[in-house]
Amino acid sequence: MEINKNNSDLNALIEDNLKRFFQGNIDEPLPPRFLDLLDQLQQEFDADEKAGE
Amino acid sequence: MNTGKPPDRAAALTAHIPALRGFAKGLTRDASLADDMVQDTLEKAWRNWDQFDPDTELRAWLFTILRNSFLSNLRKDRRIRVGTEDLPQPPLSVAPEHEAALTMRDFQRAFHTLPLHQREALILVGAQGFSYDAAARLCGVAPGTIKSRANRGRQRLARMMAEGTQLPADTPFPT
Repeated sequence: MEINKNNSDLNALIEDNLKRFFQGNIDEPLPPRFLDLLDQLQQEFDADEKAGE
Repeated sequence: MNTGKPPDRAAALTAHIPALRGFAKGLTRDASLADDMVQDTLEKAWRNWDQFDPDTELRAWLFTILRNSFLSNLRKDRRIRVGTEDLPQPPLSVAPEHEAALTMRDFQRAFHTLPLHQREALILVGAQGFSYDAAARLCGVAPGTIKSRANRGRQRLARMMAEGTQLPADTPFPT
């Protein structure tokens, strides 16, 4: 991409790229590790709840 | 005390995973380490859920947990500062007329030459949409400090991108 040295163009490019790389993509499928972890924690929670009954 | 029903807690945490990953990637530069940090954050948040004040913003709380963990690990292992596993490498042999191709057009590489505090400020304010006040509370500094860090970061990025600054492939990432 040709980078226009105009300041406003550069600033816009910077802001666009910050969002592109570091905002987090909600449409990207989550790696299974995160949902697996939450499932595991929920199961532990359920087991603790049941043990306390 | 906020105990939360498990499904609500899991759903609330899941919704913030993409943003946490974005934040972590900006801090570490290492995608694998970033996901480790996010996983650690989720577990800490779950286990300390009763400490979360539901009248405050969950995202800010999660970001604070992740940030604190990152800084704690940074003090323990200085190698974390340099994450080169997914660093794009230039071709091994480059004709002189193509050296311009090695100049700083890669935004991610330019970004990761910034000091940690500038990267953090730019991610929070520029990418994640935190206000200067909210970002300042998260980082434990004055709003003016966050604004200054973000502005200096933007200026350095703009200068590198305008000048096409050339960096060697093994340029360390300062923190």
